[in-house]
Amino acid sequence: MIDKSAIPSRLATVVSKKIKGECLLVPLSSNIADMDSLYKLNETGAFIWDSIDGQRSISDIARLVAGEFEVDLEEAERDTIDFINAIEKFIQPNKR
Amino acid sequence: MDLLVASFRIRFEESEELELLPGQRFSAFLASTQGNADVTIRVSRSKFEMPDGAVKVFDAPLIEEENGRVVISGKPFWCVWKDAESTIVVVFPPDGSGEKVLVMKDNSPVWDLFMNSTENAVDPLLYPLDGLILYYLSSGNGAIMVHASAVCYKGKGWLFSGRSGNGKTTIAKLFDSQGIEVIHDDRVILVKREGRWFIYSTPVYLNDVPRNAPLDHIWLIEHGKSNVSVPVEGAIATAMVLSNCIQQTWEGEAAEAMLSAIEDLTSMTQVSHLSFVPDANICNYLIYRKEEEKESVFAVALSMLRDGRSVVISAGGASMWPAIKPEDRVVIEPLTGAELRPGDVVALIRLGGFVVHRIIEVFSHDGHRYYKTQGDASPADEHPSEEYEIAGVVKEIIRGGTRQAVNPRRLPVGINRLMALLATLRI
Repeated sequence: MIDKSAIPSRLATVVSKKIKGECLLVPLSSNIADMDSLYKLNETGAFIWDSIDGQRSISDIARLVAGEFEVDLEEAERDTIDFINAIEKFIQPNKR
Repeated sequence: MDLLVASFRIRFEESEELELLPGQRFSAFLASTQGNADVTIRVSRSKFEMPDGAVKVFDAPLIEEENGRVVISGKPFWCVWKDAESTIVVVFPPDGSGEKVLVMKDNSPVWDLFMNSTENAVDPLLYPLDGLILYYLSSGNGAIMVHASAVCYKGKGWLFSGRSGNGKTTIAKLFDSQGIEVIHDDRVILVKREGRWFIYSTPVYLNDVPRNAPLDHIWLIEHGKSNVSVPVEGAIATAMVLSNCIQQTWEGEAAEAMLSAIEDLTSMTQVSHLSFVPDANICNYLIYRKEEEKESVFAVALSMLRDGRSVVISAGGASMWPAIKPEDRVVIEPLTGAELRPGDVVALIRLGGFVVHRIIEVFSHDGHRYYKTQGDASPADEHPSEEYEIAGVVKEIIRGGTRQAVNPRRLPVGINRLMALLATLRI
């Protein structure tokens, strides 16, 4: 379980593409049998994904989310942690 | 020997007095050698030695069918290696003739094919070499190879893509039996020329011939209990199309290029999800709904709703009887972001028009919110809808020139269906 001090970075084994505010995640694969999973992020998910830069902590990202989507910080932190857990296979959860 | 596939000219140059004998399925695609080739493949009978620094980056074991089930056998079929300057594809043809190696130097229009053979005549397009050559040629030139069938209706190319067993061949056969030209029933290449995407056939079976048509509509198909086509767009359309494309996502740059090509394709082509019943009615369903006039009126209504403006449409059907009667006019209001709840009446986006039904259940699955819908006088809709399939909310109808709120409740379905049937008969 990731906590809010973690500084996540995106793995190089995933390609992302912004399309009309949403974002597609395409995991790279070395076997034809594994090429079945695509992820679609909604606008909030795409915003969090864009904010993951290997520099910002989860708290930093949650502050950006709170500012962008007019939710309180506590809720933004909870949602950001939930989201990062949901896409954990595309993330390296580096600790500070 | 030149091969013309999907507007690409593939030139084979043989060495060492080798004779090239491509399989019969390529006959209609062979051309005399002239002009510039998009790629030249030098064919030799020698054996390729894998360079020391090469690493295996992608593996495709043989996938076989056993008693109707798809089984990954684990036997080698083909794989991809990479070294500092080349992509190297090694294939193990099922005919047991030994491994063949295709070496593609990065950014070079000249490739080398090592047939590893003592014979005087070789087939440089031995399965699965043919598909791999076409794949690398297509993806290197911004084209897209897709598992799909395609037909040409009145000069418009309709593409039907889906997983194996989802009905690609079935739908092509149904159109064929209506006298509509089938471009191909298994695998096509989509190529962008002068700002437009075209569908091209590829050689797969014995009597295949080169055919093409400008792409008009993509349907992602599956078998269903009724014929329902739902337009999709944006990231969902791109994801749905991508998952049916022939792709090797072992390398980021190639995956990004393919994503961009598919985004371009889906941004300028109508894409729909289609569940269908495999009989001739599906052809009539699509032909009827594709009539231009209906389609453009619907597109205008949809874009008005997306701009935040209400639209008024004729009900025309009895599925919501008696809350909405066939002669009523229905006011569709744009979505405001307010939560949709059971009991709300919504306009669902379907090919060529709206279907107005009531939400009977809202549930979440895999992080997605789904709305189960039903006409008050009809059985529940087969598929629950996602929000992108909902155009707007219906709170009011116009009956006999008077605006009135749509009835928030429905009668028990059994009673409704009978009364709706009576109402329909009276018209």
